[in-house]
Amino acid sequence: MKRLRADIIFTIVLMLTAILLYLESNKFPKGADVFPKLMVGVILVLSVYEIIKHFASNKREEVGESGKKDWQEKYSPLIIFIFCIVLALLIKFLGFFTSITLFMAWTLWYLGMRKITSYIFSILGINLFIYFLFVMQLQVPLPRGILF
Amino acid sequence: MEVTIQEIIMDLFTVNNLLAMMAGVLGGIIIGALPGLTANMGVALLIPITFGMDPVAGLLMLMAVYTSAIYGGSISAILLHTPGTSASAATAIDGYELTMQGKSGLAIRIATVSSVIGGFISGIFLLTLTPPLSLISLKFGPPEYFLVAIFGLTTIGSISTGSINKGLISGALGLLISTVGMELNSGFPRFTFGLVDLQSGVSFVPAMIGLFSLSQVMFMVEKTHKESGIVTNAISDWRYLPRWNELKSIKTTILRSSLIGVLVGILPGAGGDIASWVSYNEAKRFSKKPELFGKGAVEGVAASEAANNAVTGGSLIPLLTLGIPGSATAAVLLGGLMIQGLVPGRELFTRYGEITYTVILGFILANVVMGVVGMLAARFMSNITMVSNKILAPLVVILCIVGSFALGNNFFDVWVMIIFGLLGYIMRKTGFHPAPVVLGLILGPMTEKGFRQSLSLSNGDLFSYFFTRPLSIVLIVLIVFALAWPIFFHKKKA
Repeated sequence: MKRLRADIIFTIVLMLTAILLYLESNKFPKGADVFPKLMVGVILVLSVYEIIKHFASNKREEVGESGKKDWQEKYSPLIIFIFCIVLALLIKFLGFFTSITLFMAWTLWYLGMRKITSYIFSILGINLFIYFLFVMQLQVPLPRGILF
Repeated sequence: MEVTIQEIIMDLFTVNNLLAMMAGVLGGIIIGALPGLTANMGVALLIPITFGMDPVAGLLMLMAVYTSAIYGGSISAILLHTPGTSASAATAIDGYELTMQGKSGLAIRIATVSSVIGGFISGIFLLTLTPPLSLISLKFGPPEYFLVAIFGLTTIGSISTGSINKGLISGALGLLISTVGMELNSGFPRFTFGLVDLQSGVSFVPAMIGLFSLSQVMFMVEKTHKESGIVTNAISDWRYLPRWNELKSIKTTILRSSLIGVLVGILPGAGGDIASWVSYNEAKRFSKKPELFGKGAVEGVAASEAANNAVTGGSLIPLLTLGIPGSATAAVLLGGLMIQGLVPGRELFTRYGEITYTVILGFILANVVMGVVGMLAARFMSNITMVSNKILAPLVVILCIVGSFALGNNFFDVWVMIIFGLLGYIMRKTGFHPAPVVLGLILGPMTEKGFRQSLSLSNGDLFSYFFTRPLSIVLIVLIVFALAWPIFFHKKKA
């Protein structure tokens, strides 16, 4: 089976976004729209060239048995990305230090870490490092939540 | 303002600056030695920390991280056959062969000395070439500022990605993103979609952390489930200093490779990996025993390591004088300069001369310190290379979040970082390098200003206006050359 290469899909998404931004830039006052429109134009022209080049070379991705990745390899980056979003949301409610402790624990578990010492040292280490460097030294007011 | 050597030395040798340099050297070696962490990522993560520091200490730390991470990459290349950074890929060939022969200590000694000399020589070039070259920037008007940004984007785009077209698309995307926010002349909010936080534009530091660091974590976790315990090789033939006969055979190779490294570094966009491969091939060509290459040739290790560290100073030459980064990491370093309020060009060597010269001298010293720390710590570094990515991945995510937040104490920046993390991952997966996006974001305001001023000065006839200015013509020729060179290079290779 053949399918479109991921880079071409990304290029098409980029083109569509560029078109939407072009329409949005029509609302800008005169002068403020010139540079954004120029960049949108450059992106569109280069993207069209990329797509033509792709179809002219007719190189499509072969999906064979050997090329298949296991689900963890395929989805782990996406799962970690979702974990980041959950962490950012949790920080607002639970506070920074409680949230990163929970995040470390569940991410280590998800990634297959089973050594209890790794949990203790990494969780303790990152909390102390951030507390001493960012809170004590750099005076960053890290978000506090319902706990502390 | 005249700056004396005495003032510079007094500035450099303060406890704060020396501590920042030491921290940068040690941190850089660790980041480089850990396969999975890169110099770009390390510098991007450290920028928020340096924001609150004195400019000299902050920039010294970033530069020390840059050069030391490149050296640190050789440790895992030699011991694990896994280059810590892409710049050490050539080192892995002969370095690991030497390890297999029980000579890992020799390989690390050679790598350390070569890296120190390469970095030191590049520092000397940086110190001597940048002040006269910065005079060029005095002759720049709006069209030249516009063209110099386009030149930087063209070169870093075409060389760093391997595809001219994809590199240019990335650069244009960065420039387009830079237009988000309040437009200076009219005060109109562009592409903010009603979000107040976007009115001041997309902050480039969180974007950079996302593009380089979070995306790197997403790459790391792809393989972590299959990762079994990493086993490193012990250093059996350990000595703190190399023997004279070890050095005698490689001194010419180190010098030649250092010069190649500096030259490649000056070329915008060509990073340490290109320099180390070119030097490796040249060392093989000039060697009396080319048959040993690939089977444990010390010249191979020396060539690659001297060249990739020489790139660091070389890549800072166009960065400090014209604002064109010589490598992807230098593009990130440009962000570090900008948040300190330092703009590349002549002013760096006049108004901010004390800061600039202290940082350059500190960079030279950092290379020497790197050698001392490297030789003292390399034995223990072999244990650090065994730290699992399962632990590193969540730690880096947390550092990405705290770093993005710390810069402006604004949680919106954390969301910017997360979104750019996803964008960076998709881009890298599909062959689009994030470096041109970062450069476009940073240079965007200057590029737009130069373009609009040129447009108004030219009365609409931009083409004739550009072609009546000698410096503009030179820059246009350079842009055309930068676009044509990769095509010519690929055809020649094919």
